[in-house]
Amino acid sequence: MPTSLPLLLPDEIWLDILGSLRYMDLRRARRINKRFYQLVQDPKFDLALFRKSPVPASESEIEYKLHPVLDAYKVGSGTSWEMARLVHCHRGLTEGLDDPRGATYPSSNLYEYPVCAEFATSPACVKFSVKHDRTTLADLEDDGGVTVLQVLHAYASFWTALADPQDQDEFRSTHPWMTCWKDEPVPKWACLKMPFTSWRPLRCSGDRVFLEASMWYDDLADYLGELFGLFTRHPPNSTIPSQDDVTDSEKSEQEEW
Amino acid sequence: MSSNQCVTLQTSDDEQFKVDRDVANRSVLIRNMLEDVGESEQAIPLPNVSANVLKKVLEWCEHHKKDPEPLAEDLDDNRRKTTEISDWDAKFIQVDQEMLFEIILAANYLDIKPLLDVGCKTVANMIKGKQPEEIRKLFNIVNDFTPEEEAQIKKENEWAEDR
Repeated sequence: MPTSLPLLLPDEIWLDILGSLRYMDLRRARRINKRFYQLVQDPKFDLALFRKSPVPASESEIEYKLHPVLDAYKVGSGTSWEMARLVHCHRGLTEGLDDPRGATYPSSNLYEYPVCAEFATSPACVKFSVKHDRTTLADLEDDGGVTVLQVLHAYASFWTALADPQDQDEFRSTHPWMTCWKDEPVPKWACLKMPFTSWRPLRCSGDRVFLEASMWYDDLADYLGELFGLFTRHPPNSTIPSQDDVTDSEKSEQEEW
Repeated sequence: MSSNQCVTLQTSDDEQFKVDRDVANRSVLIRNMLEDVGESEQAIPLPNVSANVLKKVLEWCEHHKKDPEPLAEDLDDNRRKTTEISDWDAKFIQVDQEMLFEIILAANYLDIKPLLDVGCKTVANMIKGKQPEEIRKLFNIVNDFTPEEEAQIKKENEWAEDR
């Protein structure tokens, strides 16, 4: 076997080369051989690989990035079925839950993937909130840094909780073919009426990082805003409305939709 | 051309190149040598660079001889931010893999950071989006993991693969 010229490069040059790669490519590079595995262990890749511990909030110019696993769960159309898929990956929470459509779900359990032990953001944050429309899905705090797993658990707990009784009734009346829920309580994910299109860029307020779902009307507002330079949505808002607070406004918007 | 504007470089395979001082100065190694030695008619030996590689490196230096010096503190930041390579550099670096790595090694030895940078970005672009097996094949790298180790790392990578 002829010698490999690339392997003649000293470590510092390889660190430089790998330095311009992102998460997925770095993860794959670890598998090339032992030397690359060691190279990618270098602290220089902590930021790119979501293993950078929380930095003091006083460093106000921190730019947070969202972990690709979480980013993947912008889930395209953001429909209740996408939510179901995410929830379903959490075996512990979904035992006995069958998909009425008979769809197949990933056989492996996303929540057990080692990548989920990584931080939800890079650098890690101590306080993390996920919002969908005006509802707070997750409000997490961890001095060691909030992990992907914590966020996924919070999602799953939120969406597997039972929907409001009137939402359940409405679901049953509009989905008479879903016989599995005819006499069973309907979870929130099934009643999801506000699909979302993507995640907004992470927003930081004080020492809390916000991940907000982008709703169809947000996109419209952004579009109009850009068109006319009229307004910006999401004024800096440090208070997080509790779920009860938003039910009414949420409902009226849902009716419009 | 007066002698103090010209520098003679001697390669590992004993070829001599006479170049403008402006051009030679792109190499921090040569510049420092010239500053230490002062004016000299003697050829500067470059025992780590062969003629065909130096020719290519000098082509780059010639084209970039008027570039402003990058500030030391900017260098690292800028390199992180852009993976873009200028059109001229992109064309310049379209060489076979052996030459590419020879240029990188020479740029590293001669301390020509912007050229090293072009080379590194080019290699990074070759790696992007490729599976470990493809990269091994591309660079003729032997997989030295035991099957158990490989299985373990593959498991650690679960989800992050194939994306």
